[in-house]
Amino acid sequence: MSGAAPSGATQHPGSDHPWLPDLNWAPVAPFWAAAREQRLVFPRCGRCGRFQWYPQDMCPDCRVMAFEWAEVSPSGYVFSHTTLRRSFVPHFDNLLPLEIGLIKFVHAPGVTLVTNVLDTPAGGVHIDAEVTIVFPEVAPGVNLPMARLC
Amino acid sequence: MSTSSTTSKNSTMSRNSLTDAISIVGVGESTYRRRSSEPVTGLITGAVKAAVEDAGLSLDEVDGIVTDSTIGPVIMPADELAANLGLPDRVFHAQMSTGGSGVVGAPMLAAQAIASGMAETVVCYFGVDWGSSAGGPYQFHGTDPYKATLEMPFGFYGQPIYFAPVVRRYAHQYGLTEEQLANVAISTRAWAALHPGAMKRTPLTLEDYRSSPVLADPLRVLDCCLLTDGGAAYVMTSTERAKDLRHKPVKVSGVSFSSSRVSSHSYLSQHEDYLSTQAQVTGPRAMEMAGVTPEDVDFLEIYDCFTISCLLQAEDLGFAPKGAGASLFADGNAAPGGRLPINTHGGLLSHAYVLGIAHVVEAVRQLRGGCGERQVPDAEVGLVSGYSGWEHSSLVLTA
Ligand SMILES: [Zn+2]
Repeated sequence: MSGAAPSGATQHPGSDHPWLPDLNWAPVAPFWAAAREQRLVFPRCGRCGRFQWYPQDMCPDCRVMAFEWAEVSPSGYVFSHTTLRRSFVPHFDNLLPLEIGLIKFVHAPGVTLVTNVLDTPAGGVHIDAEVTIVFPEVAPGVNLPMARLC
Repeated sequence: MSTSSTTSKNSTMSRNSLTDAISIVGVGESTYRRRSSEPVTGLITGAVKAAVEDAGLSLDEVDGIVTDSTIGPVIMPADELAANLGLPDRVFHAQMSTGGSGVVGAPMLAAQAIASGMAETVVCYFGVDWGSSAGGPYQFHGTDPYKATLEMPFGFYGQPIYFAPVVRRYAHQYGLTEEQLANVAISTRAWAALHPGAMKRTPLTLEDYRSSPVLADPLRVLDCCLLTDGGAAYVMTSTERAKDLRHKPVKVSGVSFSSSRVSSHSYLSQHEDYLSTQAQVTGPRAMEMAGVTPEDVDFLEIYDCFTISCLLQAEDLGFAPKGAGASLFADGNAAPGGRLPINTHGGLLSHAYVLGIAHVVEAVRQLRGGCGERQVPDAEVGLVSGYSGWEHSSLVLTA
């Protein structure tokens, strides 16, 4: 994909969240703009309908370059998960232990959303657990899609 | 062990002009430490010099260099290596894949250069300073914009964190106990205990494993490879010429590379075939090229960045049904004295984390014989499995 690489660590004034995405990085910018509006969108091929995550230029199935951002239902399920005990991302220590989920969506096959599972009791997350995606504002103007158990 | 297969090898159709065309004739390694007092460039240069001396050749005869395309050239570009070694004329210089699949698959490139007459003596080198450098192996992924944007805000960063959900999913799909995973670490350490050059040589118990800290459930520190400063190299030439050199030639009988339809950006979170590796393609292909079957293979050297990745590849290569890789490590089957030895130097888990090149070096030593306490009896066929996530190489070496 074109576009300069994101700047990486974005310590944001007014936020405790240790690592924020670069909202302006072109290949993914529409994803964050939709999250700001509490909507979940992924690139879908305008020709064959394949969902492609992470974004790339050409659809590997039908080999056309016609991706559009399509809104999908925020209902998903846990494909796998882990509890982070030691973080390799700086400044996460206050958030540990942190539940990380790989979330899949029945209506967006091929997409896995890497995110955190919110407000989970110990041992509360399990494979196939149903979740809904919510969009908490973790820093001014920055909403991250996160999973909440149904 | 596999003498019965020798005749059938020659009748297999897929043996081709590169089968047995080249041999590995020299190996060299630096010492392996968590933090080396020497620069990594010095470690690599010394390992290459040692490998060429081991072959009984002169550095003036080295006319080709191969390494992986991503890590080796950043740590030490080939021209810098050649300048240090005073190589007079490099006629061949190539790079292949990333890390493990590159340094295990490199004989594929060398074989073509040597068989065509383009080059005569090709060195494969590799080294890392990931034991001491800031960010270590994690930095490799930290510079990926997709990971930085879509994964790091959620704490999903660093290879141990990528593999923890793989273990979970595998356990869900196939069943996997703590003890089965521990067996991989314990078996591998038992081999390292017999290798004077291994970084971790104290034998492990199940109790040691259970008290090892959890990094990301259910993955423990003892499920992870070491962090190492070190370098290694091996020397290749035609099998014809190899017959006149110092050591018994170790033939490159089969070599295969494959990439999946996933790029490094998307690996490991978006990998559709989440519990498989491209070893499922390269293993059978490389064995076919060599004219051998899994039953002929006397030992395996598998890229064991994590205990789980060792199981996945062992299955994909065809040595156990999918989901049953742990059976290879049950009852000491993969340990010293076992039926199918795996990672006889101690692997990435206990020997050193130099991304697969030490696996090649060890396979060569086993096939030459003379490995002392850790020698696999009658070793004639060894398979090296080189993993780099979305890509994989298999290398069949024979005595
Ligand atoms: Zn398409």
